[in-house]
Amino acid sequence: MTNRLQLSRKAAAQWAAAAVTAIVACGLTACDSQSPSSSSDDPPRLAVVISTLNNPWFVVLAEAARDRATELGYEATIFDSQNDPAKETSHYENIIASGYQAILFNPTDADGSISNVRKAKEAGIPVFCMDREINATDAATSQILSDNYSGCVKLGQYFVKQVGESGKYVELLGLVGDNNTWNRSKGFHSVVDRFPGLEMVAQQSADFDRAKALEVLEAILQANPDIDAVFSGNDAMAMGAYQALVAAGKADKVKVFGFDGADDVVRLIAEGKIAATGMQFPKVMARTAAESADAYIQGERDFPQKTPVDVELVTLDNVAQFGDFGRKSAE
Amino acid sequence: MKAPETDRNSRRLVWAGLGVGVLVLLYLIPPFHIVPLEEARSESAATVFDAAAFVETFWKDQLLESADKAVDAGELLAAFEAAPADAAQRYGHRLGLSGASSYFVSGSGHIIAVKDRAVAIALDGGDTAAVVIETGPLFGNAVRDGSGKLDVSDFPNSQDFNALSSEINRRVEERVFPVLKQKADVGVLVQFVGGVEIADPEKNFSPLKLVPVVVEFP
Repeated sequence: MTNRLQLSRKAAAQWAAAAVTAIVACGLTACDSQSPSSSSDDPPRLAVVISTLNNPWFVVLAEAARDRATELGYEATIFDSQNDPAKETSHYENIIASGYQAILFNPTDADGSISNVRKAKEAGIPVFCMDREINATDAATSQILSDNYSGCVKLGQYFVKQVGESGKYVELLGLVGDNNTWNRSKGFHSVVDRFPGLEMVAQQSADFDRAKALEVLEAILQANPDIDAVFSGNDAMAMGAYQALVAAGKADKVKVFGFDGADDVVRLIAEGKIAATGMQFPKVMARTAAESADAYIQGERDFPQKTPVDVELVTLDNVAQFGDFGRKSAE
Repeated sequence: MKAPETDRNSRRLVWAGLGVGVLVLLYLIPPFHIVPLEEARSESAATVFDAAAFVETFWKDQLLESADKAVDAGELLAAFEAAPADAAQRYGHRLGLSGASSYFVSGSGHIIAVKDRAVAIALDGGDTAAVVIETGPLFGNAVRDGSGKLDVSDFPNSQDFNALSSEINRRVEERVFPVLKQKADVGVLVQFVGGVEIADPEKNFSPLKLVPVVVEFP
């Protein structure tokens, strides 16, 4: 009995060791479908880590980064963090363990994502932030960012021109942990708050999400049926807000302002249904990040820590110049 | 009967020892600190970027100090007339991948029009508006970026960098506009230094829309 027990313990230990080895091996290589194993014949690999792919604008950012990296001779893999910092951390662990050469990164949180970037830096993997920044200047190799504040200053000025110096409006905020949310809001308010006749009757977060914006604005309209305008921190929320206004029969009376330059919003601006948006240039940012990563891998080390990318106002007057997430002639 | 009594005593001693050990550990490594609310608030305020204090120093030590290095308004306009892209390259500052460029400009001339929210200036020797100062609410980054003295990469949180523009604009409205509004009149000679932001010099550069940091009436 004693002998049999000793034997089975030994066997159990062997099984456990085998299982642990298998799990570790899986974690490092083939079990993660997003982390293909590499050999010396494979092209070098770049990781594209995106805050969420549940928004067409970020899909464009991700795909433009991947495509430019592919053009430059890399094998690029897109990782979707689903707006979840824990998922983002797990992606970083996989990427670091799997031997990627650089990370093109759209963070979930300006503060929370810093530690991931630092881990990559310690592992010798350069990180290039796209669109969203992290609140550190010594972690990422470079950050290519939309100039959200200045874009929303322009948008705020146009808002006052369109709505007038008095009226009631609603602001839909994005993710509260993201600097872009506040850069946009502050840029907008730096203008609009100078006109005391413009009253903000509600300010609520809809997490940059179209469906949430629809719900949030529907609820706000119950208490404030007489609003004149909605300022949305991104175009997905502007689309949600517009849907809510259509459902409430108010789409002709309430002016909607978005931010991003998404195709569906640009189309609605051309039709006179949405007042304006701020055109960010996701493809420019993504390509610049991919080209910077390539330059780093080729030996370049001198990068500006932050490169703001201009945001342009899109209105009925100039909408013909824009499309496909940028300027028609430029992209 | 004695043995169990001794065991109980030694167990009590062990528990007492453990208890004392835990108390000593808690004393040496407390799991949390109680801090007065006011102290916590002032600590948190200390870590918040103070844009007003930054601009106070920046204005005095860098902006006014570099006024004599500002490009002459007449020279800038002539350069734009000749070759806009070259002028932007030579005199302007661009923020990242931006189509717009900003300039630090000085000059003097006669006021040719005073309106509700604008003052128009003809440069020395001219009679058309070459510079316009809009005196309504100020927006944008003409001074911050035109000065060429501030780098966004020095600011971990770009909200702080943006707060500088608001603060500079507020200061211009509070300290420079009152002087201008008080003395501006048609025919009066004025000297100025300030920032100019131009969206696209190939399309539209004149008159220069100036955000002044200095206006003087000699």
